Amino acid sequence: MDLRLGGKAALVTGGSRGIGRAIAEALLREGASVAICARNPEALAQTVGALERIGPPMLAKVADVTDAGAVAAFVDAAASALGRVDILVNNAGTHLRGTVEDTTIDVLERQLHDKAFGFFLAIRAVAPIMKAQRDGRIVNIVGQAARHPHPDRFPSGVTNAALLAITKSAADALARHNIRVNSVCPQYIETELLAALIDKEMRERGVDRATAAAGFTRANVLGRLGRPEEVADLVAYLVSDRARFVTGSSVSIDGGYHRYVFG
Amino acid sequence: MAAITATFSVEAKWGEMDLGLTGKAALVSGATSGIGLAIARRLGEEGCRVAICGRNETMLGAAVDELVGSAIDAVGVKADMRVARDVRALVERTVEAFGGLDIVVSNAGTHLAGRIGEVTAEELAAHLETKVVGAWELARLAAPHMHKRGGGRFIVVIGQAGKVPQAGAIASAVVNAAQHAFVKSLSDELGRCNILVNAVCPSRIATPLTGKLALHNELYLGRSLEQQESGWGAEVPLGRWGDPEDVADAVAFLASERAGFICGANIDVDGGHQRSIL
Repeated sequence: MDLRLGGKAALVTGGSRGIGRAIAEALLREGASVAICARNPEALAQTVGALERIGPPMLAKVADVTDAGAVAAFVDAAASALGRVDILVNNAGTHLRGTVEDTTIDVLERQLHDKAFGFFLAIRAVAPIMKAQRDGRIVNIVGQAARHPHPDRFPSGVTNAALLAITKSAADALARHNIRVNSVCPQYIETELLAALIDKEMRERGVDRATAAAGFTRANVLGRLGRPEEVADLVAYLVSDRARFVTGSSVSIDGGYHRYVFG
Repeated sequence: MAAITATFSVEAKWGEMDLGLTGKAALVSGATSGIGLAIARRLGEEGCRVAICGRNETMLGAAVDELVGSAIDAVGVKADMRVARDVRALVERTVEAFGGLDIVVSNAGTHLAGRIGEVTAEELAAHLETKVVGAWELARLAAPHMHKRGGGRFIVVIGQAGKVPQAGAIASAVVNAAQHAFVKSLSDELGRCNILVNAVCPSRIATPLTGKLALHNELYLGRSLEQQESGWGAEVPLGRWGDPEDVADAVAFLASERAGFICGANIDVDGGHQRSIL
């Protein structure tokens, strides 16, 4: 399937590791030039070293997406280095656990800042450029804590629900400028974030790695963890012309985990 | 803030996304026109061998001729999804022709317009038989063949009336909601065998069906085609209608090897029309 992404310019936040890195790699392989940002300069340099040999131009910038100035600087740098901004993949963020009782306002604020506000800032920064081009494709990497709430995922549930609302509202507001906004909701993807959760399970429940990991694989219908590359393929489809009538949609990629009938 | 830039003169081969569909055996129900035919064509272009069905023999023949004319390995089977023996014959003929079955797209069915006073129970039942009971039988008979292949894809095309009820669409709303329940439950049952069940949810797609609806509105509501078309665009966030190929692209992606972790999910192909954030 020709996604016709050759010559497009894509921005991926949190692009140095895990799902973000896989997305950057998939877009480069489809011929798009890619700008990534992340907080850790070493991880960023290492990722660029590995991905730049794919071919299309690449740019990397240290940026914390909770800082409006840093987001604007990243978008400006990408626009001037790559010449355009066709695609934004909002991926930077974290997953904080906690119940409504043990989550402090600081933790909730941190989760909202790290993810929801960061996505919002990046959408605001790219929108004028995409409007001028009359073309833009935005994908928000959200997660399933909104569709499938859990007592111990209060900060993520609140944040992800906000992100789905941001996706739909932004899709409505920007559609007439031919800017499409969708979200992808992954769960149980084999990343460092998940490895850390498995470590936490091992510590807290005093079980071995296999037992802790089995809890995650058993939780979805397919009985395995997904790979970052699988999320990246879905993102590549959504940002391509092949999805030109898809906007305001939220696509689950969770091996069948969520229990909601309509999506 | 450090910026690291690398720019290369480009000679690398950037491949098209390999969907891994070459040689796969696909069956598309209700594929003699509109969205179904576009799906059959798209899967064929990606290398699938495609069996299509429909109720009208003339339309079926024309559709098969069109696919074969585009160098697609296609067969046509006359079948009414409301008739269990037709569904059985459809699956058997497909397996006979292609030596197995990997992908099923349940697309047969239409939109049933009218308020409750205007739609009889018999009409509702016929609608349900095509879109839910027929798909049920299709899944029941196709799944064992997919098991033999070590996996497969079952994709249901569900009109957005299931998620977005509106005036004069009560029958479609009820039947399409049942299709959603079928997709999620079936995805739970078949997922462990690597048969992935998902839905594509179109709305505001210009097809022969919407052409007929437009004609109906012109005749009975006195709204000119131009008036209707401008109105249609206005209610879709993207400001235009989609075409059957938009739906076919989403189906091709879900049918592909690239969608191996998507199970029990929906992709809306509706220009942003549906109003839920989920």
